[in-house]
Parts: sequence; C-alpha cells; structure tokens
Amino acid sequence: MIRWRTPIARVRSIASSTWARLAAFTTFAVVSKWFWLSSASSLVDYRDAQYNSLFEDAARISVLKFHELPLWNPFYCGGVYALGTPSARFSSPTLLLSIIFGTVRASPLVAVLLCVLGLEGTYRYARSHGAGTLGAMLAAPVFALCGFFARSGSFEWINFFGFELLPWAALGLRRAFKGEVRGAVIAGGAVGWMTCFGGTYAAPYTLLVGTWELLGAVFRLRKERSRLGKAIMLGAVAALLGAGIAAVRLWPITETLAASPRVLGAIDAVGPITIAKMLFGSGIPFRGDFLVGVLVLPLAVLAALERRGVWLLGTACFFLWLASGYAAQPSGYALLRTIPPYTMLRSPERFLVPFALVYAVLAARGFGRLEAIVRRRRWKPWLVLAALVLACVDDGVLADNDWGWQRGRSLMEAPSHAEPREFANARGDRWLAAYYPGVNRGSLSCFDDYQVPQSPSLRGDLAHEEFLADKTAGTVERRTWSPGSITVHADLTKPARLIVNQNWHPGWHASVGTVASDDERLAVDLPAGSQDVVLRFLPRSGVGGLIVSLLSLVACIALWRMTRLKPIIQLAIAGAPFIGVAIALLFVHEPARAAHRLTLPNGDPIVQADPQPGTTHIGAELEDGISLDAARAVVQRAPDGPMLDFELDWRLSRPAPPGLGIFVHFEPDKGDTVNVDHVALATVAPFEAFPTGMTLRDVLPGIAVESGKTYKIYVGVWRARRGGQRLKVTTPGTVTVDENRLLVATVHVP
Amino acid sequence: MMPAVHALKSKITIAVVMIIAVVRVATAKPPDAGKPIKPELARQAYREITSRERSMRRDAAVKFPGDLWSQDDDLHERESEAVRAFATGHEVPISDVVRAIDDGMHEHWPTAGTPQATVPPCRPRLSY
Repeated sequence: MIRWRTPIARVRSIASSTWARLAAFTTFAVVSKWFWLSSASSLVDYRDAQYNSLFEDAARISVLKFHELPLWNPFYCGGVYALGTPSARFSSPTLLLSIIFGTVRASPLVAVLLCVLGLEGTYRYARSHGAGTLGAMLAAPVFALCGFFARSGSFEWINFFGFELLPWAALGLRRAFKGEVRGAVIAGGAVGWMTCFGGTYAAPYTLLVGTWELLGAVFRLRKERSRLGKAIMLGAVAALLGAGIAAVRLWPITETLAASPRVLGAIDAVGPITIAKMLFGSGIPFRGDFLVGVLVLPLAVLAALERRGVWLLGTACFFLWLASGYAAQPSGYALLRTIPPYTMLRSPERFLVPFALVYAVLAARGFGRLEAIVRRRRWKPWLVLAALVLACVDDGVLADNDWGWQRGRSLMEAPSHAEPREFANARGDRWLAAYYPGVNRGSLSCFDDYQVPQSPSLRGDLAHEEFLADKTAGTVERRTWSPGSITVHADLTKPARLIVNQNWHPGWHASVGTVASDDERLAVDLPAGSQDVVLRFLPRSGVGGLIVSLLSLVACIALWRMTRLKPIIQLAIAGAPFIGVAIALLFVHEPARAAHRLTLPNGDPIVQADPQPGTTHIGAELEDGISLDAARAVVQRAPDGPMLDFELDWRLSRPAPPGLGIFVHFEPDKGDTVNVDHVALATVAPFEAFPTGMTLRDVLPGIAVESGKTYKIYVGVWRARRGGQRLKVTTPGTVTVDENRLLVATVHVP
Repeated sequence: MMPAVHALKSKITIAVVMIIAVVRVATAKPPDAGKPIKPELARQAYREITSRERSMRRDAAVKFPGDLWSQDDDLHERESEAVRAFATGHEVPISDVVRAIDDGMHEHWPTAGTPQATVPPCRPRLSY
C-alpha cells in the first residue's frame, strides 16, 4: 500500500508548495513550447502573422527609435490610431520582451510567460472550487495548454494568449464575491491586462464567465443580504478597476469601432460531432483545435455527477451551447450577437475556451472525489495512481498537440531592418506587411477586421510625402519625422493647404494653422509666410485613457494594501481614476468627426430624390419597409474583357433595423453562380445609416462577366448579421419572385 | 528550514529553465535569407513583378466581382507570391524585393505594366 502512495505523495508535495509547483509549471510550459522557442528567429508564414507582427513592431520602433509613446502607427493603411487598433497587443508589459528580443523572437517567450500564468491561474481557480492540490495541478494544463493556445501560436495570434488570464479574472471575482477586496484587484488586473493585450475576444468572454460567478454568488448569498450587498459592491470595484486599467485601449477602441464598425455576416453553425472532435481529437495522435483531452473525461463526469458539481456542469453546458453557434435551436449565440460588443464577434467555437476552463475545474474536482471514494470505501489505492497516470498522459497529449501545431507551421525569414531612410508610404502589400517597418515604409494595402478609416487618395509613389495642394503657393520641406510628430518648414506667398500623405484623425494637432481632412488625408490650412509647422498626434481618448489607466494602477495598489476600508470607500477609490476622462475632455480639444459622407466613389450623393434616368422601374416591396424601386445592368467593354456596371435603387419607408445585408446572385446559363453579397450600400454604409423616403443608390461597378453567357440577376435582402433569414417579398412589383429573390434583370454578354 | 531549502531549489529551477528558454530564443538560427539584392536585380524584380499586374487584376475582378477592396487584396496576394518566388529564385531577402517594388514605384522605373499607386480603403468582406 505504501508503494502505491509514495509517488502520489511526492506529486502532492510538489502541488502543495507554491514554488515547487511554479517550477513544475515553468518547466512544462518551456517543454511544450520548445519547437517554437527553437525557431524563434523565423516568422510564421501566415497572413495574420504579418499584421500582428507589424502592430508590435510599429510600437517597438516608436519607443526604441523615437522615444515616444506608440500612439500612431504610420506603417499600416496609411496611418492608423495605434491604441484604437483592437487586436494590437503592445500596451502590455510583454512589450518589454519585444523591445529586448525583437518582435518575432519575443513571441514564444510571451507564450511561455502567459502559459505559466494560465497554469497557475487554473490551479488556483480549481482550488477555489474545492479541488485538492493534486487534482488542481494535474488539471491545470487541460486549460492552459488546450488546443486553442497551440493553434493560436501556430498562426501568430499572440493576442489570444490573453485568454490565459481568464482563470485569474474568474478567481478574482470569486474571491471578491466572498468579500475580499484583493479578489477585485486580481479580477480587475486580469481583465485590464487581457484588454490591453488585444483581447478582442478574451475580455467579452470573461464578462460572461463573470456573470456566471455573479449568479453563483447571488444564489449562495440569497439569504444573507448584507454579504450579498458587499459582494455586489466588490464586483463593481472589480468592474471599475478592470475598465480603468483597460481605459487606455477601451476608450480608443470604442471610438474607432463607433466610427468604423466591424461588419460580420458569417452564420456559423458548429455541430456536436465537430465540437467533440475539436475537444477530444478524432484519432491518434490526438489533434484538435480546442483539444482538452478525453482521458480526464471520466474524472470530469465524476465531479459533474455530485451535487456540488451541478453549477459547474450548468456553466459547461452554457458555453457548449454558445459554441454551437446557429446550429443550436434556440441559439444562445444568435441572441448574444444582438448585444454589443458581441455583435462584432464571430467563430462561436471560441466559446470552447471558457468551456475548457470549466472542464479543467471539473477534472480537478473529480480527482479529489475519486480519492475520497477510494478512501471511504477502502478500495485499492492503485485506482488513484491509475487516475494520476491518466491525467499525466492527458497533459502529455496536450503538450504533444502543441508540438504538432508548432512543427506543422510553415516558416519564412523574419523581416530585417535596413539602413535608415526617410519614411514614406508605399503601395505596400498586406500579405507581406511585416516587412515594411523594417524598410521604413508604410503599407497602404492593408486588412483588419473592421472598416479602417482610410483615405482613397493616399499614394505610394510620391516624391515627397508632404506637399501643397496649390503648388504655386510656395514650397514645403520636411525637417523632422517620427510616427507621432512631423515638422515641416513652409515658405508660402499666400495661404495654402499642406497635405500629408497619411490618414487624417481628429487627434492630430498643428502648431500653426488649422488641421483639416482633405479627402480623409491629413492636411493643414496654413497662413502665408515662412514658418515651421509641427504636427503632433495627441488624441483625447489616448491621453484620457492613459491617465485613467495609470490612476487605476495606483488605485489597485492602494486597495491591495488597505483591505479593511468600507466597501463604499473602496468603490470610491476604484472609481476615482475616471477623473482622467474629465481632465481629457477639458484640456485636450478635438474637432468632432465629420458625419460619414454618403457618396459614391465619383462624388455623387448616394441619397437622391428619385431613381436615376435609364434605370428600369421595379417597385418591389419587402419586409421591414424596404422597397426596390429600380435597377440597372449595363455591360461595358473594358480592355481586359466585358464588365458589368450594376445599380440597385432602394427606398426605406421606415428606419431599417440593424444587421441587414443585400444578396445579389448572377446565375449564368452555364457555369457557377457569382455572388455579390454586401452589407454596405455602394460599399459605404448599411441600410440603417440612411434616411427614409429617398432613393438610395447601391452602385456596384466593374463586375467581371464572361462573353457569350446570359446572366439572370437575382436580388434580395437577408438578415446578414442576425441569423441569415431572407426578408419576405410582400409585393413583387414588375418582376418575378423565386424564394424571396427578385429577378431584376436578364443580361446577355456579347 | 527544510521548506526554505525546497523553495530555494524550486526558485533555482525556475531561473535555470527560463535561462534555457531565453538562450534558446536568442541563439535560434534564422533561415538563410540570401545575399543583398544588387541594383540591376532590383530593377529586374520590379519589372517582372509589376508587368503581371494587369492580368492579375483581371483575375481578381473575376474572383471578387463588384468588391473593389477584395479585388485589390487578391492582387496583393498574387503579388506577394511573386515577390517570394523571386526572392527564393534569386536567393535574395524578401525585404530587399519588397524594397525594390517600392523604389520602382517611387522612382518610376520602366516596366511593361501600369502599376496603380493607390489602394481602395480597407472594407473586409462579410465573412472570410
């Protein structure tokens, strides 16, 4: 009997000692990321790696080369607000690693660091749910090394490693709801960090985990009103601290996405078999996008069957339900996608990450329950040893899965930093974007998940990046340049507009003249004379957010040290940093953003009184007060083949509900259907941005068609961001209707 | 006394493991990027890659009808493949070829193609 117990006792002693456990976790994290560490000098050959590396590199260059805060990123899209870029991770302590080792080499070290944090966080969270030390340590990798992190690393989605802080946020809230102010500090710190680390998904998902913790606390304390009141108060402290620390990113990101929303139309449905394969793999070696391992499943089931496990089981089922997306009926995910900020999220299977955390806790508790049963019923103790071995094998499977993803990566040479030269915008290439900061060029060609505010007039072939709109007014010459500050010397014989070949943003200020938007390019209206013009990027949301974040960190220290204050005072301390918002509003002046210009590329307004001459009257009516007044399809002879200019003239009888999209099917008499589905009319704005009672010109120029074919063009409206159903056609007008599609034209291409 | 010794051993283990990780990262050998590009080869890279732009744009227009950003983005995907193929074929760094394309556009080097210097604003597709 003693022989069986010895290894168990040894592992338990490691689990019980904080430093020994951390040593084990660190070793495990390094071993599991070994192939990544060994190839740290190479860039992952994946498109997202390009811009994720660029965001970090741009911040690194700002700090290291120009000794300024990374507020403006001039290397992408013609210049973007760095703090307002949702997935950028630079506003985190891990930037220090990028500065020391370089962006590409730092990535695996960041992954190791956060993996250790995830392991320890999961251990502590499991312990807070009543798991024993041994079970908690064995189950920690089930979350912190789950397939999601392995996969994210292989695509250079480093910002997804912010999810490793999820157990800390949940643990902190749990402790806060028990009346510990330090718990609120831990939760606030974790949420703040993950948001600053580009936690576009991690932070909103944590909110859901927090909601479950809150509901659990309300249920537990329903008969103890004073404790419940204190718990809710400390929950509010955690929320304030989290929002406060994250303010340096939250405010700019909110501002950016309010002006340039993220529009997603995918109707993701994930069936139960797919989910099972993602979690448990479908063969040997076990591989899975969200692999948690099947070997600890009996332990998780054992825990779920006990009375105290019901709450955890409910939480696990909730996240499985969300992860199935639109496949579940009713769909919780569909409902969630009507609530900001979840409207802007996709890939419901990512809800398997919080599921993995709950699964790890259940497995940890199951181990403890097995030990108790073996002890109580005097079963053979080797059962516990067998469970320990199985759990260890499961951890090994997860490490092997990580290795599998790492070895499966295709790698390419890392960008080099060439000799210094003047910054200029290049036409660029977002598929190679990471290479542009190194040659001191910005890539105009870009991609992000939202509609980046970008001027169509930016050029990648200019002799000078700063020039006068009226060349006869004088001369301008660049004197100094950094990402956030440009000095230009101007000699002007008359007032003139200075144009900078970068995007405009209201955060740009000039020492002389008035900053203006010239077709969304940065410009300054200058008086006549000889003068140095200094342009500085100092956005109100960045300044205000930074003040709030720094004060919130101070508030965290104060609350950590002063644990005996009254809850109302703790709440006041957590809320006080938001004075930074008022300071920024008072002292940093910014012009209001101009209303979105609802114009076609040629400058004509989209909104007009009547349909254009030459269009064919249709007069069809659809649900939600939408009608299609007219359409036009004209074949043009272009040098490279025939092109179709297509126009739909819509009208709203009442404000349109959000989330609609327009589908256009070009069905040729032979060959495949071509879809021209879109949400924004004329790629400018969605239905809800337009007034009622007017003609709305949805112009789609330059659709490539093939000679000799006859196309039937079907049009309709569907709930693109709300479940995918087509709007019913209530009145067909002059055209025929097929499955709520209007046949608006039949075009023969000669 | 004993727990303190154990804690010290554990701390040393953590330090050693982290040092191993850092050393591994710092000494990881980069793939051979090749020799720096010569001016003549840079001009050749610009000529070869931009001369295909017209046909690439036509293919992109067929693939993403009516979606200007996607068409342009598709062109850049094809262009990036051409850049990488050129870099591999001539054993020069990708950064150098990227720079050659930019220098060619800024200095208007001769080419059979007509490379556009502007891009449509980023308007990502509904699903991707």
